[in-house]
Amino acid sequence: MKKLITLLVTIAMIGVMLTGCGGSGKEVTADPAKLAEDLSKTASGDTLSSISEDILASTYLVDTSKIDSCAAYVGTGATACEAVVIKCSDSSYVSEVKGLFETRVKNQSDLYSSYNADEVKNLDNAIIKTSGNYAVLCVTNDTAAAEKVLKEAGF
Amino acid sequence: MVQQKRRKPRKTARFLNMLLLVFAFLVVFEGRLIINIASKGGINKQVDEQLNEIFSSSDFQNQDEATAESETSSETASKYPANVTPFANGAGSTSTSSVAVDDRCIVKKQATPVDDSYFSDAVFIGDSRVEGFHMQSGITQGTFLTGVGMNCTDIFETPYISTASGNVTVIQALKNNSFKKMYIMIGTNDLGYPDFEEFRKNYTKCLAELRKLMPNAIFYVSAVPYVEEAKVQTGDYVNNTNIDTVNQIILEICSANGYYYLNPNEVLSNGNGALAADATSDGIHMYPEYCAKWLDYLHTHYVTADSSSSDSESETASESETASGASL
Repeated sequence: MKKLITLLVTIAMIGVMLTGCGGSGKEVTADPAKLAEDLSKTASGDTLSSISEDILASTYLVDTSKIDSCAAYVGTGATACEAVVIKCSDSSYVSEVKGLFETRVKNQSDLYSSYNADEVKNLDNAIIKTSGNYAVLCVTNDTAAAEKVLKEAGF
Repeated sequence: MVQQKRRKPRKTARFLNMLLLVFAFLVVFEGRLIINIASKGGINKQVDEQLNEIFSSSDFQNQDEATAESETSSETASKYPANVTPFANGAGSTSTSSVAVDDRCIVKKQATPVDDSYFSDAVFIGDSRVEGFHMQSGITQGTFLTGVGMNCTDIFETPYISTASGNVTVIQALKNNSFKKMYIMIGTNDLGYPDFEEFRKNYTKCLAELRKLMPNAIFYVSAVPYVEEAKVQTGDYVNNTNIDTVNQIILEICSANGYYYLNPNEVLSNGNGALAADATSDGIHMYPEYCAKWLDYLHTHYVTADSSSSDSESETASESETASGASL
């Protein structure tokens, strides 16, 4: 009986390891440019356009030397909508990027609160997710659509 | 007794096996978590240090107080940077009401456009429209201090500029930096003034305070770009009539105080005092195509040492940069 329990516990632990602690079970391998573009299409009311890596770095304050690839779509200024996907060179940088995204959302929320209160709602519902070496920020007025895109990508 | 003695080592072995498994599990998964927690702590420490550095600086506090105290002394601010030939007619004049504008303050089109390296020592200060310009125009150099809602009334009090440690004021962001060119592009958020003389006063003060911070910089002050009125939701005050009014005031301030006036409406207008049709989604914030036109305008509109002369197109870009002292 004890042998059986030991065996079951071991199998369970191995199972947990292989499934990544209860995650979706699908490793994210998305192309940041494609994923960012797909996320940008969930926003309406503004036209989001791709920005250069330099502008991305100065806007989101990330260290490009620690980034494998990245992409971002931002609006004209009419809304706070934006979609950013960053694939870090090493997973150790992911949590820092996540923190920078959180600061970005807070900064934007502070500014929009006295400028365009409707956008604060979108910022309140901002999606910030990480998986493996990836970090994603999406501010959109259709979070359900964005969540669906992310789920299909493995987040 | 003998059997009991044999069972003990088996139990110990099983226990050790289990312990090894748990240990392996922790190493694989929790190790990463521990690293993340440690690095997150490091970030917080850095953030705290940066905040302390900014906000505890007595030098900054004194500077901010000085700015507030000098609200009424903008007329006494130095009028011309040392490295640019002033347009002389406005020198000494403090009147900005119904004055004859010295058109030498209006930056003329140069024959040879500069490239983005011209902006390497420039700072752009502006509102969400300038933020859009930064993102969408394709500009590759220059420092941008932009924030949605920025206006000339509270530009030095409201923390408009995003940093990794939160939003800071324009003054805080400029602190410990030196720029040879300043592009000031605000005014859209000031269109709701019931009395535009108040706007004149506040805009004049704003520019004077910025000049105190960067006395040797070339000051380019931009007209407010037109809007597409049909799309603007706040058209009762964000309209082209009010934009023409504030732009005339900005021009007069530039003329009287030695700033250089840029008018991107030369390339953004539909020719009838409005922003070109379909340039925006909301009537105000421009699409990339129009931001690129705006950038092209800046490439061809810059001052030289002899900007006050009529034939500014004879110089090459490199000559003009050297002559103006704006070494790149």
